[in-house]
Amino acid sequence: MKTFVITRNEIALFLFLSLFNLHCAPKVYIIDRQTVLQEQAAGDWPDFEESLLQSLKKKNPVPLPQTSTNDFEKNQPLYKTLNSEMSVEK
Amino acid sequence: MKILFGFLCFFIFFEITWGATPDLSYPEFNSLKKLTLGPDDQLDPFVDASHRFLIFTKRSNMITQLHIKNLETGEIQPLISPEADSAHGKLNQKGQLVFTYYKYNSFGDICWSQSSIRFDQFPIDEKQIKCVQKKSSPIPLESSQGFWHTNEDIIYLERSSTHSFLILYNTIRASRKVLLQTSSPLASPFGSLNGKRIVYSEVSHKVPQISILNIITQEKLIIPSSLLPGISGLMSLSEDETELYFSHYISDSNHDSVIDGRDNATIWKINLDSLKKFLTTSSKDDLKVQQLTPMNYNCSYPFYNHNLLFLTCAFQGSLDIYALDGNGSIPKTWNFKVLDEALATSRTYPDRILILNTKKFLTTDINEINKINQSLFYYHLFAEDYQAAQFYLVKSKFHIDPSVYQLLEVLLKALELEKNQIDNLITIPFKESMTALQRKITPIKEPNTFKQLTSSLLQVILGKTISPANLHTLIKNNNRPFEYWLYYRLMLKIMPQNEKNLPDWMQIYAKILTSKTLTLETQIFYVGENLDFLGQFPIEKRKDKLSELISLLKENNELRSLIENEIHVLNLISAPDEKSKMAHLQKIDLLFSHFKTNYFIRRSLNVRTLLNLLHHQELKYLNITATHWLRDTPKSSTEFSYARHVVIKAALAQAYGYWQQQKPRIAADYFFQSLSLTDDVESHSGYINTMTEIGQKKNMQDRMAYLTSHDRIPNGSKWLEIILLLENSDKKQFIKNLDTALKKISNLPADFNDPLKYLLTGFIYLEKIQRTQKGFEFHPEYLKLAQQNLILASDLSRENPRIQAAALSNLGLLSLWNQNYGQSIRFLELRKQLGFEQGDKNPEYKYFLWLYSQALFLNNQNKMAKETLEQIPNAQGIPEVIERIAFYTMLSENWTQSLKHYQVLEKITGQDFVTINEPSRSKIRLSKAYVLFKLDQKIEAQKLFIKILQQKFQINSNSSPFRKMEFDSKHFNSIVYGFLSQLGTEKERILFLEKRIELLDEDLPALIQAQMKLAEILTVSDLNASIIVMQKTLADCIRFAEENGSLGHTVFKTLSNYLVHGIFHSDQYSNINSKDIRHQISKTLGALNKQMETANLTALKNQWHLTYLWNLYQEKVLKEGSSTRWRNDLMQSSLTEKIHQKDPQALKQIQDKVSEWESLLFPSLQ
Repeated sequence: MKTFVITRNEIALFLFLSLFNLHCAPKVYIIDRQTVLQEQAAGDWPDFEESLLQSLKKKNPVPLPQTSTNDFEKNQPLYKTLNSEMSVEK
Repeated sequence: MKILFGFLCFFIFFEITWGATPDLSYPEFNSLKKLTLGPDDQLDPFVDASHRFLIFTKRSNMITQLHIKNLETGEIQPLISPEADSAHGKLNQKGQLVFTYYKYNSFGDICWSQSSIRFDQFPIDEKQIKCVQKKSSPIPLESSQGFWHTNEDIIYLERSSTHSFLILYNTIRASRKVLLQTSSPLASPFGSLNGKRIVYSEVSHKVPQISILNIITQEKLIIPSSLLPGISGLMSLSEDETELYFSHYISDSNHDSVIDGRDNATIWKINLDSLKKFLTTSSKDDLKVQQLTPMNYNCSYPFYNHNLLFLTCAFQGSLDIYALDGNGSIPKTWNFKVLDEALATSRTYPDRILILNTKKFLTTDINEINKINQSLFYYHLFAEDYQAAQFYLVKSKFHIDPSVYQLLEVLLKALELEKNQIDNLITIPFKESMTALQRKITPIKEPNTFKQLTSSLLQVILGKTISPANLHTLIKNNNRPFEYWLYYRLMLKIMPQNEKNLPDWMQIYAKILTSKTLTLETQIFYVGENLDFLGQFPIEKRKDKLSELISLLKENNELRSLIENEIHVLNLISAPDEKSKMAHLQKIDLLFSHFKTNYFIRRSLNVRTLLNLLHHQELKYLNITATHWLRDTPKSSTEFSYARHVVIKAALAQAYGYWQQQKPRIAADYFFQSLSLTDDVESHSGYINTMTEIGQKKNMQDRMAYLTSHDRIPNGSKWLEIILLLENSDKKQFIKNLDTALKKISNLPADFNDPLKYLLTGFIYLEKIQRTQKGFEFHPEYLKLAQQNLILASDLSRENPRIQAAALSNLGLLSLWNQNYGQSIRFLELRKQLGFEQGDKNPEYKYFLWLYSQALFLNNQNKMAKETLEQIPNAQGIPEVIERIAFYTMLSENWTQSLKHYQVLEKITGQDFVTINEPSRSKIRLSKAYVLFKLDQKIEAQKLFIKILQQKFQINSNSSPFRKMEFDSKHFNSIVYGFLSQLGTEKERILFLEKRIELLDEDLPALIQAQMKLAEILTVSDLNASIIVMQKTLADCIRFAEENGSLGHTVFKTLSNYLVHGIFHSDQYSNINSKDIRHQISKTLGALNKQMETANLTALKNQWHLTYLWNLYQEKVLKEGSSTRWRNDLMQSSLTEKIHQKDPQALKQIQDKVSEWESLLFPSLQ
């Protein structure tokens, strides 16, 4: 796939041109500097990335340390004790 | 032993929940059923008579647009084209739509569809839409909120700045009739189809009030504004026009009549015959009005249809549309006995207020009503709704001592003022208002303690210091109950709850708990406060303090038992072995049995025990206690649903605990325990996963089949089918099953609104994105659906951190893929706060930090990205992690440190990273060589750059969500040549630049730049060659300008450099044909001239420079024009004037620079 890397300043021009050349306009993606730097000068680790995806894509609830769930639990209405009506008189 | 214990618990549990009666029903509030799904706001529902279509307004990105939902299929479509805003949609019997359209003017038009709407033809064809012709008026008229009066007639609201009109418009004859004209603002008109009544809101003396107009008899009824605290909002009528449903803001905190999640919007119902009777017979009875939703749901826009109430509530994160039983949250079958029990078992003040209002609606006993009004005063006060509390205080006026009443009035006003203070700032108006209130207290003599406490609270609110000792003396054991509340509130304000003040606080609690005037429930509340406060201290200290308290509570057997129980629980927690723990558990159990019939004590014993066991992760005993709670709670009790929740939570805590300990078999039993009672989707998921993990899939299916055949798990059986589809280990089959699973999810019943449904749907779209993604291109619809479902899962799981953690993890990934790095960081930060089981030993933790650092890096936070990676345990042993640390350190420009990291990586992956696959190896070499270059280690850098060039790449072109661009070896090598051209001898630099130029034919800006660099180097050694390169650069520049326009940095820079080169070497350039340069200069300067009016200072300066250079080039190289003349022309040009206007200093700087430059270039001119 051919990718055209452009700066944000050139977007308007591309969009304008694409209005008149719909049938042959290239697909234009805005790619930030950091992504380009990473693509050019950082290592690719496909196995590591695959394991990462398997580990972080979630279809089930995540077991958490009890301390995290405790904070949630403590504030549940279930455990609340209410003050009751009282009297302003003696 | 633990396994046996697990089964034993399950057995007991099974007996309790199923053995006695198979009926799963128990009394609880009618629940809201969600019909639309955020994250955008969706409001103002209308449902057609057949209950097939829901029409609503969706607000998204400042666009308001009518949408329609097919309630049978769940499909949602825009009803009106999005090119203009639309709102207030309603259908007549023929299925024609009337709505407000903002297409033709911003004041809105009333429009309708000429034929009935069809679900396969949305948005409605514009040709089908007809609008009411506006009456010509010198003042703009706002038209809105139309509804069908008959199948032909529309009634709508027309408003100017001075008048409001209700208009009846006939769509066939195009005739209009004014039904009502008033100078006060009207809002929200509504009437039933073929009805006689119209309800609307009318502002009278600045207060909106609800009016009901009979359009036949012109009879008008007005709901008294004194009926409820706060102000009324939107309304609708039942089909038979007997009942009016209206929203009411109990405390419109910002006086905007808009639900903003803080206004306590509630829905109420009033019978119009009762209203008429009340208004016409001067009855002294309270007018009956029924509260339908609790305050904390924040519901408005009621629409009643066929015993269902459709509402808009700010309940779960966004404004959404819900359906509720026509009788509201309280089931119609609840009698006074159930209501009283529900009042006792309720856990929030809004619930208590709803129950009390329901009792008030049902009772005719005037004494009971007075009592309820007093109770409502207290609960609104506790809920910090001071305006509402004030309302009920007035209602209770004749039952309270006048001095006490005055003090309470002052107190409520002061608390209201304090609540509305922004950031607790004491402003001058605030101070004045508070001082005025303080003055009202002074003349009051008795009751003195009450007065002193109120006065002290006002002073504290004003920021003054009060001595706790003075307040202690006011409190004995026989004060008025309310005085203890005031005293406690004051103490909370003036004394921090820390260790330093522990003795004082114990004294305060002792004073309150030894009171002889407080009710048991109130005393239990203060015991709970005390035990919560002590929870921050070590167990032994807590036990000491509790023992001291016990000695003070000799006379109060019940409270003493609560404290004793707390000590038993703490003993259990700190006991060294199971045997001693069981001994303490027996003591706890004895207390539970003793107070079996005392509801408040029993509940408090349960709550405190569970909270302590949960906090200290005593999961086994937690489960036993929870099971006992359920065992002792009759199913007919309103407490049962709470006890049931506790058991689920305890079972899930146990299940996850065992799962974490790698004991899936026991975990499965606990999951089964929970699912068999509750049909809870999370428990089903856990059970399926754990049973699959231990190879008991068949057994699991059999057990589920049994439960399904007995109709025990309607949710679970459907869920099982879906989950199993996605458990398939065959990758091809898994991909196929994604669509099948989606189809099955869409076929789930409309009320299956579990957050896991949305988590799974979001996950499937995430998978689909990953599998269909090509580089930067991915399916926008998949992205939208993944985002929508995952955000919803996160919203709905605010009480379930496990599901929330999963949704946040997915959202972090998704946002990163979608290049929304800031958002990705936000989601991942929230995920991080929830923690990881086993902490940093969890394998997931490494991947999470890697992803988080990736998001930080892409968001330009290189240093933080590096620091995040360094948190990975054993980071220096993982090549992937070291490489990224080195890379991020390099980007943080810490060259020495980065080199060290690359050297560590070399220790693992061999000299020059030889064991790493290409193209990774070369990329890492490039970075290391760059670091060496920056550290001025030129020889090493050059060697490594050359080594990269010797590599022939075997490219793996498979892209992944993390690698979206195909590796371009040609471009990569051109970069390497670029670096090499900055190293070595002049000859080498020229050679590498030429090599670079060879590779840059498709990247014109880089090619032009490289050629200019080459020309610059060649100028010294081979001027002719440098001029040839310059000519080629000009030709490329012209080519670039033709493709990209004559403006821009590349063109400007090339032309400037060309002209300067020419001026410097005018003799050589004078023989070159000037056609090309003339042509391009004329185009560029022409373009610059055209945009001069709107150009910024930099663009104007560039234009000036280019004009200047071109004139100088003409003079010096082409021998055209006179030096004096063109200089004068330029100085008097509109361009020079424009620069001068924008910044006189800028012009001076240009001139100074030019003369400095010319003095060097042409010394003879000086």
